[in-house]
Amino acid sequence: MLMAAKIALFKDDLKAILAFSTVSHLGLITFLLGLGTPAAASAAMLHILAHASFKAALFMVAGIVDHEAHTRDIRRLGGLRAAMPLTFTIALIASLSMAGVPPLNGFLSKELMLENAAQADWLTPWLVAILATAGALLSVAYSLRFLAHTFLGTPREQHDAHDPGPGLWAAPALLAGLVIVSGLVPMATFGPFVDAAASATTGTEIHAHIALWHGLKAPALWMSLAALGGGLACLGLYPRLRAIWDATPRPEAKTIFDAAIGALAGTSRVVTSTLHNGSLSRGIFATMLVILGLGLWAFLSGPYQPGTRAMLPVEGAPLAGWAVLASAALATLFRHHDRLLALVLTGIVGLLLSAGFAWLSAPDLALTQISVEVVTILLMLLALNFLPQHSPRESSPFRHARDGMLAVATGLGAGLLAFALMTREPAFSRVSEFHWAQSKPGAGGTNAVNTIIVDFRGYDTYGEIIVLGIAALIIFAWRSAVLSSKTALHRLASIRMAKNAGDPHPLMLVMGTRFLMPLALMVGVFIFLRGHNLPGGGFVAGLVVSIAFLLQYMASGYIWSERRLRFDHQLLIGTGVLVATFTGIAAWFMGWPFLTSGYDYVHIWPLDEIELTTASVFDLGVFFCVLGAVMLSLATLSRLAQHTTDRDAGPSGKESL
Amino acid sequence: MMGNWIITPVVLPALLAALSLFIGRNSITVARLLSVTGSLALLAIALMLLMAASEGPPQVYRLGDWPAPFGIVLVLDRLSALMLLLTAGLALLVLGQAIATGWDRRGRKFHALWLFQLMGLNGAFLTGDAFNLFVFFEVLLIASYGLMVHGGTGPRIRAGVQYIAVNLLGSTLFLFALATIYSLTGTLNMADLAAKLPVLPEGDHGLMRAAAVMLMLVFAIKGALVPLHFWLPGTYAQAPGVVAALFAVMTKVGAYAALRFGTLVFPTDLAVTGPLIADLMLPAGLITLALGSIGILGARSLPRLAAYAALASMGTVFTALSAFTPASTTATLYYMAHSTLAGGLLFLVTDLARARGGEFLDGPDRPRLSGRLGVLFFLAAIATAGLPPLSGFPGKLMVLQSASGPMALVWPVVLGGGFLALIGLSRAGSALFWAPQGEAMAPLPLSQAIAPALLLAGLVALTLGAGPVQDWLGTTAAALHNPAPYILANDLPGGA
Amino acid sequence: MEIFVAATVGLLTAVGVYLMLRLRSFPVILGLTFLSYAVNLFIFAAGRIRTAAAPIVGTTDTPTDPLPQALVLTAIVISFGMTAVIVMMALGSYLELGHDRVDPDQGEDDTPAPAGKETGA
Repeated sequence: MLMAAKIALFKDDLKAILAFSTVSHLGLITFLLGLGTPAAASAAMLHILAHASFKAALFMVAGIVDHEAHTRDIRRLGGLRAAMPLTFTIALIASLSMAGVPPLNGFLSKELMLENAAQADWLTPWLVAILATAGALLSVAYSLRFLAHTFLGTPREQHDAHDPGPGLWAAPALLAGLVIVSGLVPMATFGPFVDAAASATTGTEIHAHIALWHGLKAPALWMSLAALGGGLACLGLYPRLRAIWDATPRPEAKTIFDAAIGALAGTSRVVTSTLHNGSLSRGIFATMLVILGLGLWAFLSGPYQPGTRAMLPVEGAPLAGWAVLASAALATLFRHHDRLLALVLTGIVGLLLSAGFAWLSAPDLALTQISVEVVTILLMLLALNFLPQHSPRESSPFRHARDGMLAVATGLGAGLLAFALMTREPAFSRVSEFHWAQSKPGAGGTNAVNTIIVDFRGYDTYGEIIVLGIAALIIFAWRSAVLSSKTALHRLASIRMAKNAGDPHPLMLVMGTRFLMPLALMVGVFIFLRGHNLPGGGFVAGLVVSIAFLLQYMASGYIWSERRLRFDHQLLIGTGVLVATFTGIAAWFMGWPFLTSGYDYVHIWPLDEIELTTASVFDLGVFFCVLGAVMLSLATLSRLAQHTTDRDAGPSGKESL
Repeated sequence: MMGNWIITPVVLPALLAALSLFIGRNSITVARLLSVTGSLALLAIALMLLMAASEGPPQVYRLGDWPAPFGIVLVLDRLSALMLLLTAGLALLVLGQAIATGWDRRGRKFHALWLFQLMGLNGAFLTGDAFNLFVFFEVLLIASYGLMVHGGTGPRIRAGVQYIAVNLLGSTLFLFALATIYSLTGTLNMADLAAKLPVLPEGDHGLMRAAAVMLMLVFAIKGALVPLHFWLPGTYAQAPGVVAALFAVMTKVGAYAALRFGTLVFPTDLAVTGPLIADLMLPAGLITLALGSIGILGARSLPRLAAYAALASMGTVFTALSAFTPASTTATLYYMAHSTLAGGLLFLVTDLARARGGEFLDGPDRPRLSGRLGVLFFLAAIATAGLPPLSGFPGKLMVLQSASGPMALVWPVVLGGGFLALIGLSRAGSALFWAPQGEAMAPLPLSQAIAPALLLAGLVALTLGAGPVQDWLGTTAAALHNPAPYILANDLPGGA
Repeated sequence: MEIFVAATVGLLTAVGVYLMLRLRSFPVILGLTFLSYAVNLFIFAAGRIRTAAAPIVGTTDTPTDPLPQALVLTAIVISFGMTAVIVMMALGSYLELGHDRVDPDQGEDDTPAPAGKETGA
């Protein structure tokens, strides 16, 4: 209240004066409500009404002055009384009310305010009263300044100013009338409103008595007089005060606010951009550290008993295989800058892993791992054609050490966890005992792994088909995006392909792969059909067929193969998903839940008796999706290859083979 | 009993997506028709399932007719039905927006990917099997990779590589956790796990605790809990606007899974894990909320701001969740519903502003936000900051009232976070509203204002219906904290 | 032999983590491949290891646990799909940006710079 009143006194814009005085009056109202007494609430409500009437009138006056004199700068105004008598009258009434001069309504509420302030006891009995009087004093000062500096004194630049038409002065005049009337007969005008609002505010019935004259004993009278006197004095001394005000540095609320928010936003920006610099390795490092730290902590804070399961004896051949695997993995680690070598080493690790699976009674895994390995490595090899052949050495020694330590720690954690699990017996019987027992009688297959995949947990496989299908779709969509991007095409054109060998497509390899093609397809069919009873199945079959096509691409070149293998990949994938879905839905019509399997035995010459289950139709869905995904990736890479520089330098003569 | 209806939220989108590859391949109209039909049907099915779930105990659907725990089962309960409904509602509106803004034409196969995305989400919400949850996480993730890089070039594809790499790391961790759990208990069915863990031999406790923490960390990665959140800002800011809006429900999958496992498998009164998860989640949630709010204030562009708002909302969700009481779970669910709609709305508005050049909050040549878009931004900001009269306000109130942590810690962070968010959003608003030199943004066609307006209507409905919604969620939360009927519905052998 | 299997899990994990922390997309993808090897072996090992006990009815009475094998198969297929996608994405990122760094260029995401033009496409 005081702060704003002080600022209002020294503002030069008419509207700014009024705005700051409004802030001051709001402060006053808040102060009254804060006193919490019924009388104070009445005063607050009265002041809201009074303030609304005189302040609205004043704002309109300011608008009229601006309209007529073409400025709201109080320093350039003055002496408008003569030119605008009507406006002056309105301004006189309203501003005197704001100053709290009787008998206007501003006086009533100010009087009540001072009365309440005089009774308030905060810190010392006098403090509130003094502050309130000071507020009133400042209010008188700026009100009078508004009036005097605008309308009194000698006229300045605005010679053409005159009273506006009734359209402009009617509204403020009405308000000015209200100011007078409500000041003279407050109980008849504002009384009911004040009572209702104050009652609602405090929650108790209030009947305020508002009057102009409270008698000489009322402290408010003397405080009012002091305020009026002081206000007049302020106006008289205004130039001197103004000089002091201008000379003292003072904080502007807006500046303070902006600076505080700016600092907060600046700090936030620094925190945010420092923390989230978009670095992948930072995110992964944090993630790994948390996983390791929390996992270890959770483990150590719970009881642990080492397992008692007997271990397998150490054997020579597997140990040798292990040694090769470990060396290949370590070599990948140290030679990963040479990408081709790293890829080949990775392939070796994968192949040895599949040998390990075979040795540890998991023929299905071995078969799958080896075929996935071949396809993955081949696809990555093809992709590597487009990428730089070397990774630059750009990590600092500190970084190497840091990453190395984290890697070793994580590896130790994973290895020890695996060891702890392998050397203990499970506490409960496993659900797989049921799978084993029901594999033949329930699911109609002797290969328990396969019956789990296509039957017991066929729904997982359904999800897996979808994953493959989506992967293929993404690659398809990605291809169109890349092939329609000028940047990408431009970059492709600058890549030189197939410059490594003198003869890019050796005749023997070309002939060999083409001869192998039908054979591979046969093998694929065979693996597919036997899957339910022996290691195999749709996924491996799909991969084997894919490998056959992959070899065609590698041996005969993208262009040749692309021309002869026009798959509609979308349809292949769609078929896969549909076949799998309809196999599942078919069960509904038999009154069974989704994916319930039936089976029967059929003969397909020249193979043995084959057991054809609806589950193997489901497997066909897997087959289509795998084939679709791989072929699509291949076709995509070959499309890309057609945009590289070397595309016309290919062995066009050999394509007739 | 709902019978085969329970599986339709998974099968229907898959079927339509495959069909879209056949008949919608050359015609965007057919593809649109398929996905809109699918989304409408999913919404209807979700409503039906929600009503069915409200009436009785959880219902179990045996896939392949194999009994639990040997086969995989779907479980429809109030929580999964609620998540289905949220997903279907958001997806339908955002899909409408994708069509209205033409986002679906900026790359290939948008609609098929969209349907597969819904399939993955629905599958994750319905499954009652831990490994199957992994599979459907992968389905929804790989579909989200496709949508994330949809029509993208340069920075978006690179952000996509990061997103995929982090999530593959999460998937690997998921497998480590599941293998450990299976190795110790011999089962993967969630109800079976809930029945077996209380009698786990003490010598296995340490390993199981490690597995529980690893599993929860997987969900924390999906839910972007600090410090596993590094993938979120770049991904959400770079993703197409409509996709980011759908992603508002993607982070909720992490929260859903944490809630499901935290109440069913690892409840706080379980001897093995005890309050382990709750103790870790509370500080992480608070830090996430704080960092997200700071990010809102510190963001330089509107997409980043929206991304950090998503982070802050996840912080609030996990803060509420960490108490694991019926009251806090009610608050969590209410806030989740609110922030799904509000997040979707904010991303849609962001996308509209970005399409009109209003992406950056500083720098030259910024156009001025105005008209309908301005109103939408203002309302989205109110919803995001949690101000009355929209549902963020009752949501935050419920969170505060039910928070378990020391009040001196939770209240300042939640309220301070709201304060920072408010300043950040107002700064962004004024940067866009009052851009001094800029021309007004291109006007917003009515067609593109429909989806945001409907999302707003959802928020209003959530506010006006706060009472009944709260009651319904209260019953849901009570059911979660008393999982016996859920386990019973699985009909495990030996009556376990 | 358990020690060697466990050591393999540990080694593959360590190599995978280290490679994932590199700055180029190619080693990161190799790292993911290694992690997937590691976790596949881990799942398999978590079902306990046995020799000459393939879970095929009629060939043995005491088979090794078939379920982890089935889980590994699912995991292999899924990670195959994921690898195919991330390889393509990394390739696309290289073709678009002219480098294969996985981290954004200085200020690429968050400043009113050329990046803003991309959305209009």
